[in-house]
Amino acid sequence: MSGGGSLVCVGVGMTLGSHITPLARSYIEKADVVFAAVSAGAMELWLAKMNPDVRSLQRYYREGKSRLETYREMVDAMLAEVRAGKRVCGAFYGHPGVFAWPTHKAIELARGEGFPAHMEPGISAADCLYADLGIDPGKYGCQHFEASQFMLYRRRIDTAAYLILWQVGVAGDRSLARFATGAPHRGLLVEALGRDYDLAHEVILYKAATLAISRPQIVRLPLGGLAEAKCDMHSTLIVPPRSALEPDEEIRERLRALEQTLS
Amino acid sequence: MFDVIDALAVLGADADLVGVSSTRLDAMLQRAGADAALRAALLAGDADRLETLLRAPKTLCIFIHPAEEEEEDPEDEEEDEDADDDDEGGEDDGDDDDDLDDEDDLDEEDDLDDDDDEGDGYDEENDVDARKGPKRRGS
Repeated sequence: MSGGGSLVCVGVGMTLGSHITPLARSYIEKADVVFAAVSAGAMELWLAKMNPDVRSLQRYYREGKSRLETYREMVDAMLAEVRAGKRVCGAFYGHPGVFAWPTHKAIELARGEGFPAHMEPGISAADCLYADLGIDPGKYGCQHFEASQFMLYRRRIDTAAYLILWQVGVAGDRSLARFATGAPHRGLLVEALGRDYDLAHEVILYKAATLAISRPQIVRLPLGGLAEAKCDMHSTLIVPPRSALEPDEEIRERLRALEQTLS
Repeated sequence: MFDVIDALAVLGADADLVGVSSTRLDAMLQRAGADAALRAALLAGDADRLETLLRAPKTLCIFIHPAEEEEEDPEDEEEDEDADDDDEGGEDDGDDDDDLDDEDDLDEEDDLDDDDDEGDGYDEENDVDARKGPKRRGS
């Protein structure tokens, strides 16, 4: 093992005070240094009450700068302190490993250098939307994609399952340098979705509540209205199923035959 | 003195306060000494206004996942290997001793029996191991 440093990445959940696990809080409180990537300034103030050395990772963002460079700087910042022998905690909003590149990369690199590093789960935006929208991902299945990646690559969509597109507020940005894209970019997303869904198909733009005084924002609209809809960095797009589950008669028959041999 | 962040944390964690009426919340905030501007923002559920009043750090961006990753430059792989070599003989700042102290504190101050039995196999030994290595619960 190299030195005394260590890294844990924890999630603080989506809503201040509501979702943080006792273990995540303990890691934050006991860390030598906490790096914070959270979704609201109030959350940074909240974390600052748990540990005297909380460093915001917001400093690495700049519009016009590739977010991949930003993410690498986040990783470098965390690893530098691990290498300095510190107990480092990365406190990320939601779940630290769900649509979160810097955490997985930091843990991978730390382990590669011989440092203990792991991740503790948190409550993600998806977990909140399941609760707030009454969606059970197990009922019909649920597909999750990053919105821009969905646009850039051909995916096989099962329209009998839920489809959830993350980071829809920056859909279509190949530069990774924007903090938002607008109607023209989302228009292309609509076209991509339009291959499988009618423009009248109802979709949902969702934002989890970040503070207990707020309510989740749930906007239902036709797919055709998505381009012009209000959408920001907190938005997630949910596309409900548009078709019924199609029985697989071949496998069903083979299961029947199997059961007969077993009985 | 009224602390808004503490108040938000309490509001977020107390089941009795979920969906609390504006009247009751206002009364609680007044008793706690919240000024009028903060009370108004809290009662309105206006997170933006609240953050302005708190002079909270600005959140520029919350995206932390790229749609595409660049392929790693072979030069970067060589730099990673060099970094591994540099890490040998790392500084010992006595953290190992502190770890033992923490383990002793855990033995002496915490009721191990109470902490152990949540049915998931988690125990103090795993706690130490989890801090020292990528141990997964239930494995």
